[in-house]
Amino acid sequence: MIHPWTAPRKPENLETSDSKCHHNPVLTDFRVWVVIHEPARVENWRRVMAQSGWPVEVSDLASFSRRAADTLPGLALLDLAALYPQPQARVRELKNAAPAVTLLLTYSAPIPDATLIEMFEAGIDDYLPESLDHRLALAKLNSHLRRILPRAAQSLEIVLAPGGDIRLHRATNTLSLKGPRGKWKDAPPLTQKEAKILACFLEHPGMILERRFLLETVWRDEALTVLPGTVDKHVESLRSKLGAKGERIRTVYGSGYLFKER
Amino acid sequence: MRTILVADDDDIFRELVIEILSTSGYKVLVARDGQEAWELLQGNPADMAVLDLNMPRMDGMELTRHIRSDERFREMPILMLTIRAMVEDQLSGYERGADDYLTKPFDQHMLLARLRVLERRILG
Repeated sequence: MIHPWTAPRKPENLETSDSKCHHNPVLTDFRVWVVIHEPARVENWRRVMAQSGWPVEVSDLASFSRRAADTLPGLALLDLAALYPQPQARVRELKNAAPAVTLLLTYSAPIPDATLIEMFEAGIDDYLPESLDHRLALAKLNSHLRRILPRAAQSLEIVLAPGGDIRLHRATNTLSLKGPRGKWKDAPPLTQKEAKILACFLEHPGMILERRFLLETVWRDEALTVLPGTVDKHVESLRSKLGAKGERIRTVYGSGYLFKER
Repeated sequence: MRTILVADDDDIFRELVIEILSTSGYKVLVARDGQEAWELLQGNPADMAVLDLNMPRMDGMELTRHIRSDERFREMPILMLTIRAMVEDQLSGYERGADDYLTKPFDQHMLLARLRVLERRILG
């Protein structure tokens, strides 16, 4: 007889951020950002960008930088003025933190070729002059979206830990860890079972997952035949592959495991 | 080393583009019109294409349409290079699947910067 397991549950005596249940991205989260500070220009570009059919979010640079890294591949129209005083350094930082976000540049006046070339080298993907015919701006936007959206759909295969520092790519079982400087580094490859266990943890942060639950979710039909302790061995191996971040998997005595929210 | 297909019927511009690209470390496949470019592509895979708009036999628009409708080349970045600066021409280019547009005369550093952007953005 199989012992019934209890569904993942919030621990009773552990502080968890209940209202901040982790949210993995879905394609409807895809958005077009407009990072321009002058209201009149914002409205003009917001209207153009909205014609793509995707939600447009007007933002300042600080808030865009904070949120872009955790979003799907997206698209952002950045005003050169918003990137001052060090526009190239800002673009490099953005590109490093959110490599999947396509960065388009604009400015209230024409940008000289030499500056533009430097901005392209820094990570800008295209230039939309303020005076650009709106039909052409939309055509450029659509040409970027045509490239981005299949990747966005693909990125749904990616599961992120709360805090965005652990990333699992389901299709390839690839685990990447974010270092202290925000750079992603590939961890040793996961076995299929380890990847499934990690996916369970990432999808239920802050909740107790019983061994039996993990066994039946990950091993499925084999659950009856695997040896006791198998789950523990796989979790131990997963912990070691997570390096210092392995401490986020906490053993809950007599029951199973809990992946800490932070 | 990346391979770039260059198709242009203007001898001077074609030679100029070939020189810019080959001195920057690209391998260049050369065609004098769209038809020749299309035939060349069948046996010689290219990573990117720099296409003139106005060419005899098959123009850049038609060549772009051929490239985009073929599974093998669907993802190939295409930069249009032309003396036409009309919005309608540029719109048609994008509609057929071009990724970027540069009007002649162009700054060679700008051409290289735009190609590197396409390389980074699409080819990774």
